[in-house]
Amino acid sequence: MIRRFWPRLVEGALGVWLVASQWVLGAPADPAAEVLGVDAVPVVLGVMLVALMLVSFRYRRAQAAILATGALVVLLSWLLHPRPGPPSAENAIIVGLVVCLFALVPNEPGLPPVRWRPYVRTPREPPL
Amino acid sequence: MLLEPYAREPTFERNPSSMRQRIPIACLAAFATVISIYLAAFQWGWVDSVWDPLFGSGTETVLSSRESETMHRWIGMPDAALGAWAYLTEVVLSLAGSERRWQFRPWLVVLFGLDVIPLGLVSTALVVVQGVSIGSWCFLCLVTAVVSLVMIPLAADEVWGTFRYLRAVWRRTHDARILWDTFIGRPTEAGRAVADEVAG
Repeated sequence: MIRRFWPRLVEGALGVWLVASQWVLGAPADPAAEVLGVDAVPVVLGVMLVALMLVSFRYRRAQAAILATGALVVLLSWLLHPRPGPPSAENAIIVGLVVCLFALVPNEPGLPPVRWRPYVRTPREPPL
Repeated sequence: MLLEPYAREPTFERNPSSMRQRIPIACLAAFATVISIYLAAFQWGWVDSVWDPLFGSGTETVLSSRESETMHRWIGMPDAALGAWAYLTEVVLSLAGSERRWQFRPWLVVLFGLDVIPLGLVSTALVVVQGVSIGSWCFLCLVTAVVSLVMIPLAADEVWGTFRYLRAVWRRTHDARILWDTFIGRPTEAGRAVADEVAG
């Protein structure tokens, strides 16, 4: 499980951190989008990342949604806060960029893609 | 689609995607990531001073310069943090994929090449321009610039091998659809034939 889906697990962990960081870093709440004293946008997007991670175990195409969510985290954090922004906003931009990076890494990155496997001689690695 | 007989493609001298070639790049990029995080820590105020054996307080002058502040306002985070992310992408993209990713995931190799080669040149140029315009030099920034330059020839072999593979598929088929399928990692008859030839 960890070997097959480690990029997705990293994205899920980043989603959890995105939610937790709003309390850990003491986000100054935006009155327009306040929930429990924190900004709702990163919290909602963090929960979305965790949900998409769970979906991606079954549906490979969820990876594209994770990439889009990461981009949305960056864009909204960049647009909704003054720059230089509060620590939580800078944190969200960095987390979004890292999510986008890991979303490019396919599942089972060390193995041939599923479509290639019928053509390779061993299930793991063809000799060169 | 039936393939016409073509001249056999020359074999790779060595596997361009071997881990032996990619791990040194990942190590160099990880080293530069750590340096960039250290520099970002100064810009965030987590550390009071930065180690600089050559230029004294030059690093601190560069990191707290007006140019650096302007970058911070534009990108929404310290420029050193953006550098750390850029080097992290090089670590991850250099390690992702099997030892035959030039065949299975050419898009990944091209993305890796774009990350290392043009972005490496741009980041090196930025470090030099920043030093010239501010009039102070940052030792650790120069170290990361040298790391970027060293990574370019190390990555070029794999990128060149992948382009050779894609070029051979194009020469054999002259079909943009097949070339695209090969690029995104879909198995194609031409791709398999060429890969078997170049892999020896």
